[in-house]
Amino acid sequence: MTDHWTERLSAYVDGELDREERGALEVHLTSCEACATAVAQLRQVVGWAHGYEGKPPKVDVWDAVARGIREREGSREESRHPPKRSGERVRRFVFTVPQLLAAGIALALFSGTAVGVALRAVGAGSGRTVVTDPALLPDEIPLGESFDIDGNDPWTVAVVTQLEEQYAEAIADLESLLREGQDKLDSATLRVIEENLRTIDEAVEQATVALRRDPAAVYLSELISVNLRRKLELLRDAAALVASET
Amino acid sequence: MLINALAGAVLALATPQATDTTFAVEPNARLEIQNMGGEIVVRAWDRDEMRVQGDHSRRTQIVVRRTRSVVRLRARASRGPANIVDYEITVPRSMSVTLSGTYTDIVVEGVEGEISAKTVQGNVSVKGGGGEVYLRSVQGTVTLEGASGRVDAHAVSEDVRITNVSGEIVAESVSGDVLLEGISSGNVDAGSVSGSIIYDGTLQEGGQYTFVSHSGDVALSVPENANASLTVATINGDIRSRFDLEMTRSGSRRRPIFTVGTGSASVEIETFSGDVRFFRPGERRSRRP
Amino acid sequence: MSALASKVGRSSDPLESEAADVALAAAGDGTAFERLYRRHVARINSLAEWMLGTPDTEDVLQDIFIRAWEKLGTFRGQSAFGTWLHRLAVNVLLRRRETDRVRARRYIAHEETLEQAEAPATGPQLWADIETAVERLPQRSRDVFVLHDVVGYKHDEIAEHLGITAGTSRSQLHHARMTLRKHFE
Repeated sequence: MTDHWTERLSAYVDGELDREERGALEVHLTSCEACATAVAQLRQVVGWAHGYEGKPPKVDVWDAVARGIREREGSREESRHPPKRSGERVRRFVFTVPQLLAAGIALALFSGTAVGVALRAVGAGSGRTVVTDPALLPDEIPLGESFDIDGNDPWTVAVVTQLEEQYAEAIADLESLLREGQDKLDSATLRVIEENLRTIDEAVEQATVALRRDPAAVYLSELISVNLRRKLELLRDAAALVASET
Repeated sequence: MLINALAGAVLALATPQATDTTFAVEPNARLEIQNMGGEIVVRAWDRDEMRVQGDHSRRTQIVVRRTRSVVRLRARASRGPANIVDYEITVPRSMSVTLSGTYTDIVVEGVEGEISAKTVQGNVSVKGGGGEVYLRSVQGTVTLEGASGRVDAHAVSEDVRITNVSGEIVAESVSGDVLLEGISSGNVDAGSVSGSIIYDGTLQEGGQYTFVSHSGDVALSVPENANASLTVATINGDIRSRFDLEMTRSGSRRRPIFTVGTGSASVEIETFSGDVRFFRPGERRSRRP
Repeated sequence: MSALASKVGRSSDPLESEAADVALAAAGDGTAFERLYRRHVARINSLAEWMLGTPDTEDVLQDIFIRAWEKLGTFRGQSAFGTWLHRLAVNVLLRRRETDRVRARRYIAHEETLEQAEAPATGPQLWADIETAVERLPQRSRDVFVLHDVVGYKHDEIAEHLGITAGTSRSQLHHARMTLRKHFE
């Protein structure tokens, strides 16, 4: 088709021609079978597009969507938690140990002043771990032996949950120590500590949000883990400082 | 004044406003100082003796506790809390030092043994060191030059600068930068949260290098004849290179892997929003990014 | 069932029951949101596949629906929910595409665009189905066709989103339709 009406056919189908042009085209259509056919076909294309029902994804993603929504609601709930005293920020541990372990991330967890427990996944994704705190091991596994971490194994889950609680507890203990002793600290030091804790918290928050949106970006859990460890170190420094001033 | 060594001896040094005393020590012993405030400067000489110089108030004494393997220095006040002491210690070169303070700048020069230097408010500046070198400051810079051995350097709000060092390195800051130059190492782990990381050093065959920042940039020097696999993961950062980089098939848009030469060294770079830049040695602008 | 649900009841009119589900979902009813998801996911998935040029849409679909949940409070009912959802999806998809493209472009030191080249005009080919024919359209005209005819944007909106002129948008749309009409001969 080479007549100059061809270019206007889509506009005609979309009702974009002014009255004059539309009239002229309609006159043309009565005598040009090619154009008339084209118009009919274009209408079919448009009709198809309007009514197109779509092709569902190969894998249903509803579960992932629901989980994403729940997590979002959960963290929103946490951040709405009212502070206990004025000026006190509630810092929550927003990433779970099992998730970090599942990503094969080395984690050193400490409980307050205790020596600590090292939980290490030997080889990313291999799921084998070494627990070095005797208090956590059942009698039959000697210290230093590795065992398979299985998300369904109740004992493993219990160990990991306990560690998770200790970690959160350690952070809470230290934060509370810092809070109570903060007037003993030099105000410049306190400010630096708080600013840097905030820097770390923001980084953890950003990475956590990004990881929820994109669980495939596993390296984000490393970023989170490394920063949580830094936070713990900084809190311990601060607590030691408070203790030394007492 | 030379004082003979006595195992387990506790020496309370007299209290003028300055202390200056020298005594014999085992060359491989360790020096331990805990200082609340004031400087700690440790230098090395080739004698099997330790010289302790201190500036402090009249009320303060420097107490030396010694065993065959450890010499401990503490400040003690006759009344109330110990005041500030500025220490200047000279030790046998092979000695190890463990120094900690609160409002304390720490300087160590020429010591070839293990070095541990921690302070809260103050800079840590070390030249030399062998074996294990552990440096930490909360408010202050951490600077290390010319060490060889295993290095572990941490700052919080200021920079970590490591120059001309060989051996394994772990270097971290929270909001400060981590600058590693003239490094000869097969194992480097450098991280910051909001600070930048710059690495200008070797990428050895089979070496492992990890550079992680959250919002800071990572700038890595890649020598022309290097053999390295560079894995980059970033969410919002740009990846820029001053030279052509070939992306291997095993990489993906999300996590590209660039191969240089045989790809022998393994380099992992991770940022969240920081940029990643590759440059040739010597190309970096002198102004810090 | 929540008090709101029982008040709204169940209507046989799909539009009305969709409005009810939207109201319920906005109030926090996850089951109602799942119904909305099921009703629209296929179309959104096709939209994503066409606009990203890949069948790997799982993670972007999650992004889209999670974002829809979060933004549900801003839906005022001035358009059909489907229209609102499609537009939200387009925003997510365009942003995702821009991020991918920007990142890909920067891997190479010298100037080399990774944007898909326009398919050569090889003459009419009849694909197995019209969906494949849409996939095979050159990216620019595919974008315009999908945004105009499937999602319902006007040419000036398309022009703004894609960084082209409205005139280009019109001619690209026409080009796409003329290619696709072969399936209706």
